[in-house]
Parts: sequence; C-alpha cells; structure tokens
Amino acid sequence: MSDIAATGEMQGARRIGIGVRVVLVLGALTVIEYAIAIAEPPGQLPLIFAIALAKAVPILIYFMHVNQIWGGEHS
Amino acid sequence: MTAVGHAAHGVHEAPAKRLGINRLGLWFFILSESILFVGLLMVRFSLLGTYIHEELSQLIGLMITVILLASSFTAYQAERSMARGDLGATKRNLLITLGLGTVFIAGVAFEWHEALEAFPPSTVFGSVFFTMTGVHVFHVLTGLVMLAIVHRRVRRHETTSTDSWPVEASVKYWHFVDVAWVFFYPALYLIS
Amino acid sequence: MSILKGIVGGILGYLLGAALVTSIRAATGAEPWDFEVATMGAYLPTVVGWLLGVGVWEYWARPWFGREAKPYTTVGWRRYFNFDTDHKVIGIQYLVSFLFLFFLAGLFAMVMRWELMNPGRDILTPSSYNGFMSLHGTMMVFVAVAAIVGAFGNYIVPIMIGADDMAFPKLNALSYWLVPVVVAFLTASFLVGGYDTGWTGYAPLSVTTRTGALFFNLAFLTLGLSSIVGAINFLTTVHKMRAPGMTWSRLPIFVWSIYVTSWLSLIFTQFIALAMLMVVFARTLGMAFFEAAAGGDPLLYQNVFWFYSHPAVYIMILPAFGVTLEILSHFSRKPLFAYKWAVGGMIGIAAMSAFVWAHHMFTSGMPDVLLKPFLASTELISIPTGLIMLSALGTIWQGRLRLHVPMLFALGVVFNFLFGGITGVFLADAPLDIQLHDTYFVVAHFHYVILGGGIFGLFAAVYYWFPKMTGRMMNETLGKVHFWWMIIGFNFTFMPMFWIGMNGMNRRISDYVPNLGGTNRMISLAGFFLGMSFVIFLWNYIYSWWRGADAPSNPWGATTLEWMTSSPPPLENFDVIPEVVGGPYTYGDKSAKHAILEPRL
Repeated sequence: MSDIAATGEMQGARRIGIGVRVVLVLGALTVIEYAIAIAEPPGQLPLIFAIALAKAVPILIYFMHVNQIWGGEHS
Repeated sequence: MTAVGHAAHGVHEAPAKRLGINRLGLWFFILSESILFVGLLMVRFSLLGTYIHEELSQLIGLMITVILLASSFTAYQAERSMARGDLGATKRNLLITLGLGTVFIAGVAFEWHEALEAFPPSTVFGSVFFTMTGVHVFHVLTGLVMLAIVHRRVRRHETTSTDSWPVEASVKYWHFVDVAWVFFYPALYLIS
Repeated sequence: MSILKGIVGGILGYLLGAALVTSIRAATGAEPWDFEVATMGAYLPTVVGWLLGVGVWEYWARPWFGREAKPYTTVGWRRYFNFDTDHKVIGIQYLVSFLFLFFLAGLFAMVMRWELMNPGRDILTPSSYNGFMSLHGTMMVFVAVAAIVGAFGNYIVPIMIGADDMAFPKLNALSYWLVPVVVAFLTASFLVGGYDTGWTGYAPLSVTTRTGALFFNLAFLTLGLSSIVGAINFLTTVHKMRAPGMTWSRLPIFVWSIYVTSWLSLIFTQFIALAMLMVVFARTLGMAFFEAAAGGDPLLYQNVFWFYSHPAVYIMILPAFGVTLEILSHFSRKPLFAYKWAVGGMIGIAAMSAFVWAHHMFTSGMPDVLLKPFLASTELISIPTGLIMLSALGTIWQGRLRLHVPMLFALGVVFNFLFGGITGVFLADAPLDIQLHDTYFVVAHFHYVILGGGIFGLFAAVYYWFPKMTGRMMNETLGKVHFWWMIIGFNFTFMPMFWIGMNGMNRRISDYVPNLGGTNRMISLAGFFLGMSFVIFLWNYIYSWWRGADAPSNPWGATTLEWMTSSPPPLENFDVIPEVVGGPYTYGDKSAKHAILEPRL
C-alpha cells in the first residue's frame, strides 16, 4: 500500500516539475516577446505571433491536457 | 413516466463515462468561445491594422500578463494537488489563483481609468480596446465565480478527489481564459 | 408556477442591473437615467434572474452551494411548463413554441401583403410597414434556425442513436428556457416602437434607429447563446451516447444532418454574438466601429454578420434535408441512395459555407477584385448541395412510393428546393446579382429555400413524428388537403415574385410603381390562400393530439430505432439498451436488421 502511495506521490512530484518548467518557458517567452516589441526588428509581426502560438501550445498540452480529446487520458 | 423516477435520471451511468462526456462537452464549449476571440482579433486587424495608441501603458500590460500566466500555474497546482488528494494544497492554490485573478481585473480597471482619457470608446482604437479587454475580463470574471464556488465546495468537503470534476472544469476554463490573453496581449500591446 | 418565479427573477434582475448602471452613471456625473444604457447593463442580470427563477436554481444550482437539489416532482401536462430535463419534454416545448412563433410571424406577413395589395398607402405607414417586415423576418429566421433542431433534434436524435437522453439534460433545458427570453425581447422591441432594419440589422442604420433595434440585438444574442448551448449538447451526444454497434456509418441521415448543423452552430454563432455586441456597444456606449467619420467601417458589420448568417442558411436547411432524405427512404421502401455521398455533401456544405459570405455584399462597395472568388466559391457550393439532391432522386427512383402526408411534404421539399437552389446560382453570379440585388427576386429565392425547403421540411417532420411524440395519429385526409393547399398557395405566392423582382419591384418598401399593382394583388391573394392552409393544419394538429386515433409503435413501417419503442417512448426511451447490428435503412433485404432489442442475459 505504501508502495502505491509512494508512486502516486512521485508522479505528482514529477508533474509539478512539468508545471514549473512550463511556467518558466512562458515567462521567458513573454520577456522575449516584450523585448522584440521594444526593439521593433523587421518582420516582428509574424515573429510575435509565432511566440504567442509557442506560449499557447504548452498551456494546451500540459495544463489543459488537450490530448484527452482524442483519447489519450492524461491523468 | 413518473417524474419521481426522473429525478434519478442518469445516475446509473458509469462515472468514467460521465467524466468523458463532461470533458468533451467542455472542450466543445472552449472551441466555440475561442471563435469569439478569433472574431475580435479579426475586427481588430480589419479596423486598425497594427496601429496601437501610444498612450497605452506597456508596463500595466506586461504586469497583468505575467500575473495571469502565474495564475494559470497556481490553477494547475490546484488541480494536481486535488489529484493527489491534498485538499489543503488545493484550497491554498485555488485561493492564490483567485487572488491573482482579482489583481488582474484590478489592473485592467486601472488601465481603463487611464484609457478613458486617452482614447475613449468613441474613438476606433478605444472601441476595439474596450471591447476586446471587456469581453476578456467578462470571461475572467466568470472564471473567478466558478473558482470561488469550487473553492467553497472544496473547503466544505463537498468536492473530494473521487469526484474532482468541478476543480478540473473550472481550472481548464481558467487556462482557456489565459490562452485567450496569450493572443490578445501581443495583438493589443506589442505589434505596431 | 416556475414560469412565474422566472418572471419575478427576470424583473428583479432587470431592476438590479438598471439600478447599478444608473448609479454608476450618476457617480460619474453623466445624466443618470438612460433607457438603452440601463437595458444594456441589465441584460445579463435579467437573463440570469429569469433562468434562476425558472428552475436553474432549484434543480441545478443548489448543490453548488451545498444544498440538496429539488427532485423533479411535476407530473403530467404541467411538466411542459416546468424546467424539465427529459429530452422528449424539451422537444415538445420547442415544437409548440416555435410553431406559435411561426404562425405569429405568418400573421405579420399577411399584414404586409395587405399593404402591398395596392400601390400607395393602405393600412400602414412606411415606417410601420418596415416594423412588420423586420419582425416577420426576424421571427421567421429564428423559427428556421431553431425549430427542426430544437424540436426533432431533441426528441428524435437521442432515440435514433439508442440513448436514454441527451448528454447534458440540464443544459438542454437551459437552452430551451432561453427561448422565452428571445420572445420577450422581441415583444419588448415591438412595445417600444419596433425597429426598421430588417432581420439583417445593418449598421449604421441599426445604431441610429429606434430603441426597438436594441431589443432585436439582445434577442438575437440570446438565441445565439441558446444555439451554441444546444450545439455543444448535440455534438457531445452524438459522439458519446450512441448505443453499442451504432457506428458512424450506421447513423440515420437525420442524425448526421443535426450533427453537421451543430458544428455550424458551434463555430459560426459566435460571429452573430460579436456583430450584435458591437452594435449594442455602438448604440449605448457610443463606440465607433461602424462610423466612417471616426475611422470605423460600416462594411465591418456586414462582414461579421454574414460570416454567421450565410452558414446560418445551412443551419436552417440541412436539418430539413435530413428529414427529407430520412422520409424519402422510408416511404420509398428503399435504402437511402448514395448514403455516404449524402453525408459527404452535408459535410462539404458545412466546410464550404465559411467561404461564401461576401456574395451577400456584391453591391456593398467591397473591392471588385473579391467578386470573382466569391462568385466561384458560391457556385462551387452547389456541388455538395447537388449530391444531396441526387441522393434524394436516387432514393425515389424505382421505389415503391407510399404517398402518405410526410412523404408528400418531403417530395415538396425536393420540388421547391430545386427552384430555390437554381435561382441561388443566378444570384451568386455577380453581374446578375448587381441587377437583382434588393429586389423581389431575392425575396422569392430565399422563400423558396427557407419556406419551400426548411418549413416544408418542418411540416414533413411534424407529420412524420407526430405519432411518436403524441401517441396519436394525425388525420391523413386533412393532412393531404393541407399539403396540396399549401404547396399551391406557396408556388402561386412566390413564383410571381421572381417576375416582379426582375421588373423592378424593390424589397423592404411599402410602395412600388403602379404598373406592378396587378401582379402584387395576385401575390397577396395567393399569400392569403397560403396563410389559410395553416388553419387546416392547426385544426388537424390540435384535434389529433386531443382525440386522434391511437398510434401503434411503428405506424409507417420504418426501420430506424425510434420506431422500435412505444409511442410515445417510455422515460429513458428503451426498456433494454438496443444493440445496433446493421445500417439504418434495411429495405429490400429480409435478413438485414438495424438493431436487436432483446433483454440480454
């Protein structure tokens, strides 16, 4: 019994790890996004939207478990 | 037949099946709502191109964006703690999420206050700005109401880890509101 | 009783919202009372108050706050006036409500035809004519959007797929109980003087015109909400609630039509919400979306509006196609011809419907370079539509036709839609459309599609499923009289409209050049004749429900699942869960079976 509980605990711990990683990536991308907007390099529009997309995808996958739509139960 | 039998309606279906149904329904709802945000983006670009009013406060924009992203993280933590059966951590994380969401709304309210002087709704930029942020804040508000109800339920042990759907649903909706802002933030503040 | 609570809740909600808005205005130093701004602010509290009062609180929301939900104790006919989650109750609520709306809007059409009998002014001022025209259009569009889906989608689809109810019964009740709000807002618009924008509500007129337009916007917004909630429910139901063995290729074509329609509602209805929101904000907050002088764009409204409203045409017609194909197969005693192509045609229509909207705007001053692509995409969409027509004809071909009333109406759909569809190709052609735009040619075209197709389909469905829904048979002879009366009246009313349209009769105006008087009089008389046909229907409908002969479980000898249970079906539809073992139309093969309904050991 303690084994199962321990496994559950470990999985939980690892997933929190994923959460931290995701939010760090989101923060970094936001900073980059902001820096691009300040610097105004040529072709910033597609770049900024690519970054927005890059932010949305991890939220969808890791926070919202989008895979569960096509049957991949995530939790 | 009798309405009394009717009350028990749907009870006999397996919880796993019900969870699958609920999830799919919520995804359909999220898909539909995201179209509203896509429509608002289309309006924004068709009316204004990439124009941004220079008095729009970049600082507030960045701050509320970071706050909302952080609230998504705490919402995620709430869902994880719920799955672990740690109701204390769930409550704590839900409460932090509620707080961050409230700060977000306060930030927008402050910004509206400034914006009313700089670009009132009677200007085109003002129309687009107030409608986009307004529709988004409305979704934030509904999300907060849901989270508050769920928080109360968890606190009173009415939602437990055997039926954590209310937590999952409100958290998922909250992430969706965050994703919508991920696209609104650059469209409103960054491109020009 | 629950309706009374709902009304109290709605009024309280309105007062609360209006008071809030007024006090905010007073605090900011603006003129405190402004009816339109107050109403805008009170919209949400009003709707929420009504819904909570009508049953959401008692049956649904109480557990959110740690209380016991009330059990559903209402029985008998009172259930139909209550917040009830049984899909069969909701289906009948939808049917009766929308038939009522249909007849009311039909009366408005009679008033309009009375005015148009003679050139010059008869009974209406130009402004009140436009008021009747707008309400007639709006209500009929609402009927066409929601009647078949709401009534038969709700009642029949769960039974057809062998489910005990919809996926979300409470949401289902919610989507119905938004309909009275729609009706209330339309009534309110009438009481404050109506609106003259037509159902399309083009800006900037809709921004500057009478207060009634605001209520029209709110009504449309509410109907959109109801559609979206319904669409989520149908999609989830068809995905998750199918009986064992009910694969996608065994779904009856009517289920497919509702499924595809629901995708359209789910995606595109958000655009009407957006269009209505922008107009409401422009009216009440002075927003400048459509104000060219401030840098806005009046065409923006048309783009957003038609981005919903063209797909909405398919939301109106696809369920009617589904009903038609369903009935044609059962009454021709043949499997549906080219089933997969018909399904593909529906999906093709749905997919292409996103790329044709600007054909409504050929004369709007949009860039000329866009005319050709929209001409081409619009004409291309007739290909999937043609697949459905071919499926209909192929099904009838060499069938053993049983000309019962539902079949007559289904054949009527095929006949009428041919004219509606072909004249649509004319209008898709930009050079021709520039001539015919805003004439009665357009009026005739869309009445052939929506009335000749959609509403004939609605009546086909009413006659077909009436025995299932009420347990009683409708009178066959009266039904046939109704059909012939209606189709003759219909064609004599709308066929001449093509002609007067080409001869310069403009739509949406109470007066016209004198030399069109004779034809207009003939159209009006035919219109009154058409209107009277519904008296027969109403008599037949009400009397049969009350005193009709008892219906057996399968009066038409049809093969789909809803005919394998009693009429009307028991609560949760089947005593045993059906097991589907074959396609839905098992004609011509005695050994074939659609489903087995046996208690399993």
